[in-house]
Amino acid sequence: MMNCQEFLGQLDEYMTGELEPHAIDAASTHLRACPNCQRRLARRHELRASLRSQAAPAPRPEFFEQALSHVRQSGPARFSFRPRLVGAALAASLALWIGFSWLPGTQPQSGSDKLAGIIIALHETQTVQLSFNAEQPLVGAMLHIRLPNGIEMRGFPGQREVQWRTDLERGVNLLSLPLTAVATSEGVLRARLEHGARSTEFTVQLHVRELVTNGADTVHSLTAGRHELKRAA
Amino acid sequence: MAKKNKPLSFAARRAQAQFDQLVRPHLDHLYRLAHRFTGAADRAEDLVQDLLVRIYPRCDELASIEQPRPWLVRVMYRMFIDQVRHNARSPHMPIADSSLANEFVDEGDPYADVADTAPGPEDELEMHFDRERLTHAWEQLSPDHRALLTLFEIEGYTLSELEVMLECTRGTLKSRLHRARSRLADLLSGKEPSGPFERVKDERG
Repeated sequence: MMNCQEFLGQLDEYMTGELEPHAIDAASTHLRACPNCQRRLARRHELRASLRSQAAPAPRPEFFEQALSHVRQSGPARFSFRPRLVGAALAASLALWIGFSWLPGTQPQSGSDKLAGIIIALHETQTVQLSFNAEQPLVGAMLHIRLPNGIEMRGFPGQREVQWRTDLERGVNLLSLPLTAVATSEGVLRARLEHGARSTEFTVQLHVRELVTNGADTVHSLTAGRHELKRAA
Repeated sequence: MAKKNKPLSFAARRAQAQFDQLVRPHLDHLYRLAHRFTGAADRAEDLVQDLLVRIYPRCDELASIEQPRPWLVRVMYRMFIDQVRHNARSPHMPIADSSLANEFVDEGDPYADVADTAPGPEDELEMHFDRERLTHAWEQLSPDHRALLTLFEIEGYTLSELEVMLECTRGTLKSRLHRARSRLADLLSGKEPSGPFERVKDERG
């Protein structure tokens, strides 16, 4: 038969539901027979309820924005590809997906892959997703993006080349490039990834056209495994 | 001369947007926790601000965590405890560090001296639960006890979760919870605060 000391030793777990069934039975049996422990349990519930009823004030309305703004000035954060599995939902996405693959031992040190053309409507922004499958984590890889005339990356008006250093996690890493068509033209977007002595480059033919948006003209899908883009319509 | 801001790279802007997206859903919870920990709005703001600055360079790590909230709470709790320790060491607050360090030591069964018929101070809380008195007692509680009771009694984290979050054993955790509740019971019953933490608070003004 459990005594008060043993019961109190398990009271925290009893309250949080972290006891095994046999221990719950033993505690409940003791509780039924012990008015003192009934009182102790009731006090603990009262304490908990009272503490929870003490309101924690809300922050000043502007605090979060100020705090985040301050953080932005505190120094650079590491840019991240967001790792994500590419699955069946891919074909349903409106975004364009370009597949990179860099599997040591199965790929040459430098590679190049041509993709079919992508059509971007003039004066619209379209997100191109680069996916990179890394068999091993890559720390400090350098990514270069070179844009054709008539295409700008949102936030970088007039810049043809953008590059930065980043880390890649093992598996599929995704990177979104928000591209805006500013002039009717066509050309090649080059994405080059370098890590140590190795590098790989992929190219995408971009066509900027004045399109009457009827939905179908701007929907693309990726043919799995072949890195080919085709118009859905 | 006006400070000239260097234009942010695309990568930096991406990182900022990602960071905002990751932390924003948790800011309100973190602020309220910080307020319960610290007992004051300005200190709560400082703590949340410090937390954000600390984790900003760890955006990658945060993004890879399936349940970011316990991770954020743990980092903030550790920062808070570190601040309390730092303040306790400062020349203006001549409190022996060992008094706080002892909070993290497993001192065995806290109920070893419980007689079957003798409820202790922790059991005598009910008559003191009026709001004003509880608020006053809560403010008198040590920062560490406040933080611990916030996580366990108010936020409802389980012992298993707190073992991981606070990186301590079950025994240590329960000893500390017992001490925190006993201290609160003392304060509610009108006992003069005599522990080192209350002196810390008094000297901080």
